[in-house]
Amino acid sequence: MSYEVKMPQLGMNQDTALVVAWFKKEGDKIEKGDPLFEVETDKATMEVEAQKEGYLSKIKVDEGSEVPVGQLLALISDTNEDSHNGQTDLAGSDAFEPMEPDAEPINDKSIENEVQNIEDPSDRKELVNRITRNNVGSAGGKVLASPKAKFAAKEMGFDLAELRNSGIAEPFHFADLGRVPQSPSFSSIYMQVSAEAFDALILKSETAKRSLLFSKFTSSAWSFVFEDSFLEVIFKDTNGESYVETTTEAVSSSDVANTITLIDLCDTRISAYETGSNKLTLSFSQLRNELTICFSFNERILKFPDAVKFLNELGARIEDPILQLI
Amino acid sequence: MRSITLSQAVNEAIAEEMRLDSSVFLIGEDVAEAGTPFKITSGLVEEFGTERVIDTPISEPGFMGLAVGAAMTGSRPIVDIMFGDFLFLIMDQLCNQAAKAHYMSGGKLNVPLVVRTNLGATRRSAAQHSQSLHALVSHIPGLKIAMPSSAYEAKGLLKTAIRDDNPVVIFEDKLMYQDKADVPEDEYLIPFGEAAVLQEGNQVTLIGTSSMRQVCEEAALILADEKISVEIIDPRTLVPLDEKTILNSAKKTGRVVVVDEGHQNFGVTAEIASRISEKAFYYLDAPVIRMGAMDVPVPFSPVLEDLTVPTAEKVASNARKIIAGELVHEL
Repeated sequence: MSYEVKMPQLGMNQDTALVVAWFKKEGDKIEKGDPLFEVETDKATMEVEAQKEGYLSKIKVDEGSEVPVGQLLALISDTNEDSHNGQTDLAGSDAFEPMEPDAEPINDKSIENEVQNIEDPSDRKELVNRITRNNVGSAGGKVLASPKAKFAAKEMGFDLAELRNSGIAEPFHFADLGRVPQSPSFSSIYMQVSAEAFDALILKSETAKRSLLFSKFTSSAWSFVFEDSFLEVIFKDTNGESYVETTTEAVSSSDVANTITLIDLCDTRISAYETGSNKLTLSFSQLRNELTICFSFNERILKFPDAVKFLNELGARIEDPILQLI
Repeated sequence: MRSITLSQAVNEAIAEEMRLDSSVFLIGEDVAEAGTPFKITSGLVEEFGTERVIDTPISEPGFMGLAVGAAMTGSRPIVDIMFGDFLFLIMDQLCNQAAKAHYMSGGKLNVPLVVRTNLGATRRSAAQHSQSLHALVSHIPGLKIAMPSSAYEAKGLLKTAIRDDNPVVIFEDKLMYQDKADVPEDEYLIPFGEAAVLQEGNQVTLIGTSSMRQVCEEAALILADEKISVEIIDPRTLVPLDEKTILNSAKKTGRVVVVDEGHQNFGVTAEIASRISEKAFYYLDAPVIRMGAMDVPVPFSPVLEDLTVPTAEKVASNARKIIAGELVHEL
């Protein structure tokens, strides 16, 4: 059984409309309510959703075609076979009436003019996607992001669509990658190191504070492992008070990809603190001469081998503080 | 270190090179008796005489053609074109003859010639004496283009230009002739194709040519108050262009505003922005912004004239926008 998809009437005096983009390919499985295609009239652009579930068996009209209202655009069939053998069962087809778009058509004249004034079809399509998303609130279309953000996301194996889902405005920039909401790829690694040399250092010095030394060692280890990267170290005490302890370089907040929170548990019986957020967290706890360091991070933002490298470097510096001078 | 005006720096560069090399001579309108309307070449005719500091009739194509011939036959002329706007009068001599002679003679001819001229609006000189036409000649292969941004650069670049065996056009900003800068007493040259990084920073790169360097520096001061870290680059020569320094900075900051006083359409800013987009694309976190003069003939009205050129406030505002991830131009 097949259903016909026809060009909907979207305005009072509208005779034709432009098929801007198909969101599905022939053969794709379709759920009722999926965005199926995008149309543009002289007044507005909008997405049309599928009214039936099934498989998109045939697309009859290419993207970029201007077609009259009511013209057959595509066929949806119950089974996937139709799309391969080309057979359609029009006899039993229900007339497919597209759903009303779920938002008011855009009446903003300026946007309309903008759409019409763009000559390059690819620009036009991108703009249409953008306007559609912003105004009709759908989740389809190309993700708009800066080249740097896209490149970094690819390197990190991170899907930029997640940012869209979390409501961050497009186009995305590099700093937005740090704004990913809590995600399940949070990890913690533990390390135990001898605290003898480190404790001796604190004993010998009259001015050295443990928290400050932890911060300094952390930022040096970070700079050593990630050469061009900038780190802000925030110290959080067991009362919940936080303050910025040290920064590798003075830069304002928009470029901060890396903020690390340090928690000193050495004076407590607690052995570790894991945050389960995207924030980098280091907790330090001590039992006799043994220091336990727990490093929490999000593997989407910091790769596991890099985390290992960093923690190892920090451990080496604590065991042998002379490394801090080199 | 002593501080001298850009005008004095140019005068020193010419005098020093004329003392060093007897084939160097200066030619142009009012260069001898009057010392140019900007009093740049004052005193040279007294030292070198009228055979080497030559006043010409008001005939740019004539004396430019003469200079091209002299350069082909062993002299090293410095041609003074009183206003950059008059470059239009010497286009054939400069672009068809001087720029191509070396290539078309199979390397047998050199044209070691310097055209000294100027650019810059806001001097209330109206549309025919206020243009910044460096993009026009930068388009022609065979010419080198220098854009000094202070007295220091003016001297070092002009000396390099005079010693270069190719035709060089050097543009001084006519509003900067009285601006002072530290200039060493000892001889120095500034090589072509080496940009100056005037300030290091990591959030946005401002690239400013000629007097737009000062505009960028003022913008950086405004932005510094907002804790925005700015890198400033002065390309110093457009041809050859120090792509490496520019690209490295673009890769570091991911955001660039290119500021130049030529018209924005089809201009120097477009060329630099385009090279950044082509070669540092994956490092960019914002569109590269071009800021040139408005695409209108420079108005005579002071109020309107001032509106046509990039200002520190406008540069700072655009830098702020791209850092905040806002659009400078509507999509």
